[in-house]
Amino acid sequence: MEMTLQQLRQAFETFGYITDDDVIMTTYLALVLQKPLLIEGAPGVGKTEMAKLLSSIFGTELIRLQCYEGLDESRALYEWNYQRQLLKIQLYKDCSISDLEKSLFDREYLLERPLLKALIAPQKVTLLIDEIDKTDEQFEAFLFELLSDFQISIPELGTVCAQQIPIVILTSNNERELSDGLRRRCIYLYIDYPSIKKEVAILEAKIPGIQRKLAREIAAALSIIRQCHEIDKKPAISETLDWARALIELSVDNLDGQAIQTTLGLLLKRENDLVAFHSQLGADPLCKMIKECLQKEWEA
Amino acid sequence: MDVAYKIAEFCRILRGLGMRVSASEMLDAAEALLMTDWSRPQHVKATLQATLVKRAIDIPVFQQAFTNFFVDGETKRKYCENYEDKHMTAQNELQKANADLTFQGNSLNVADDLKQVYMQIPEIDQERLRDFLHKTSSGHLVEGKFQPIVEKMITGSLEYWRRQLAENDALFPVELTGDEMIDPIIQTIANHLETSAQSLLHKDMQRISDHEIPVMLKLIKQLARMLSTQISRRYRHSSKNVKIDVRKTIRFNMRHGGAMFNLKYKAIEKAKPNLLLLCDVSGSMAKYAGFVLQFIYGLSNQTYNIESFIFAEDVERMTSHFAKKKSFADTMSQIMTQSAQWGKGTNLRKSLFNLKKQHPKVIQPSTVLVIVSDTKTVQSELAAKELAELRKKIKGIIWLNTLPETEWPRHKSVAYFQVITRMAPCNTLMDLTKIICSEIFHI
Repeated sequence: MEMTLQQLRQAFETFGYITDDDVIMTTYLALVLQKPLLIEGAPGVGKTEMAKLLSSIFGTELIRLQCYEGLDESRALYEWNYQRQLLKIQLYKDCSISDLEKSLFDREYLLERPLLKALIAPQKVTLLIDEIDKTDEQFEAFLFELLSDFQISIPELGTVCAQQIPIVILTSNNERELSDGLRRRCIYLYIDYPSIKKEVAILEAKIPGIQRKLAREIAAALSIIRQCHEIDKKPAISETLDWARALIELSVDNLDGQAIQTTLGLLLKRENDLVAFHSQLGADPLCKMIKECLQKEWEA
Repeated sequence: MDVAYKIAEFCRILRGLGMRVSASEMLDAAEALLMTDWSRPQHVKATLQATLVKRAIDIPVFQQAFTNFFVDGETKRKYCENYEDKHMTAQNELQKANADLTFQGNSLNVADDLKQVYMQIPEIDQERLRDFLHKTSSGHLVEGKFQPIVEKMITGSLEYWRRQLAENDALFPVELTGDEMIDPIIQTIANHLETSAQSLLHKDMQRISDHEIPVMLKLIKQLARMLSTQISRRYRHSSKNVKIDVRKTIRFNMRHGGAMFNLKYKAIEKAKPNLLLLCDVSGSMAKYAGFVLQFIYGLSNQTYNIESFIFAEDVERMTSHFAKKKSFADTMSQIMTQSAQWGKGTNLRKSLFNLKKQHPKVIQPSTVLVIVSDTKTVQSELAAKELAELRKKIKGIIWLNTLPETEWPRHKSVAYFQVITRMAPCNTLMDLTKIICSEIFHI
């Protein structure tokens, strides 16, 4: 499980996660300090991928807690198997009460949810708490003990401590402001959209066989579209990859207005954004801008 | 020991620049640096960023601070010299202002920052003020007891000049520590940040230039979305939360031998409040109104149960405009052309009275009233009484004040309304961000 920074960098490359040195450094620090890593960024920049990557690199089981509004400890941590408990009460009506009461709150009646599973796992695991900003403040506060001490208090059982400190990744789309208490317990990483150079590297890593020229044009197009203020939901890396695959399927070697127009739905998923694209950019002007952008890149 | 001191100093600088850095983060930074290769500045920077920065908005501030802090001794000496020079100049200016701003031989009780403003205005206007003071001092039957009146007049005049002079300023607010080694560095970093995009967050909204408006509107839209998510998450009555309370059910049904005759449920979540937005579109709010309406537009699009009104001399309902799902530009254009209130004077008392009379259904016990205004209204005391009456019928009142907080003590109207409402400053984007992070909407 021990890994140097260089080895981690190598592992990132091996598994095809192209990113900046700063991101690798921050991830490394979270691992060596054994602190949770809070990753913020726009949807589709690779936050959840980071958890999957670390799970692959270290060969650990990935335990995922997908957060949503209304999530509470009974779905995140544990719940008593009430049906079995009630059945037992009915079946053993005539037994001694104290024996019955003790056995009702045994581990066999405990339904382990993702957080508890991660804590009691005999081997190290990777715990992904995905989209923490979708929960509410109470749930955040509930996580404090887990994130700072890797333990949790269950009233009937006492304090459950982690047998192995898990790798904990929290992701957030910044839809809601997270509390200071949560932030200070984590190492913070912000993943922005990649530069043109990085995006080309990602395309070449994820889509083997893509022509470099096409990859550069795609990356330049995305860079220009992301700079357009009127577009609300900017296309992320996942959309870039989908778009690239679609263009290859359509045997497009060079980006032109027609190709952009037909495949625009893979990049922009909202009506307002499509309207904004046509009013502010347009498919043919975008092609021109791509050429200028690549020319500047080359000169630089 | 040296390294520990450096880390502590750096953290103090970050705090002076408005970043929240606690002792816990400082310890994390120290621990992380032990595992970092110090010969590689980029690694040191990444280490400190990973442990000290907890928000994306603070990244540019951190990066500038790192650039300006980790410099050689000679550069730091220059920072100190520049800072001392500026400090000396400011002291000299203050002394001159004290000498000029007198009434019958007594120094006027004017705030130091306004005295600084006096020294910045053109000489001809300084001369005018001196003339006025001289003539007033030596006027017929003028006594010492008129000094407060003269002070008010001079203060008002200098306030006007302050607003004029600050037109092109993009101040990055800092909190100086009083440490003569650290403060010059903080000031140097702030000077660099003033010219960066970061300054947009701290710029008074009415001073946004035309080319900055699109970016500003975009940021406001994002903030409105975050706030509306926060409000609706806190209060939304989710069907997923209607649960049987099994413990209570079992306990209650023990009397029936364990058979579940009566089910007990968990306590119902708080009911969603009705938001009532009241936005001032009078002349004094003209430059803010566009941004504030963008904020309301953003909230309306994301959150249900919002009634939107604008007011100046009277109140007008705008909810239907926002409900039409048009673009913001179209909505704004429609409001400005159709509204009879845009750019007029302010009469909050009359507006509230008519709100209650013409739209009684919006006044309910679950209503939270959000007022966006600079508090400058006629008959402010009476308006405050009217507001107090309204306060008894609704859940709470939040006042987003577009006056800079430093000016609040100078306006009586602020004091009147502060007593009845939860008031927060709201004239920069950073203020809006703080409102979202705060508990002001936890009524």
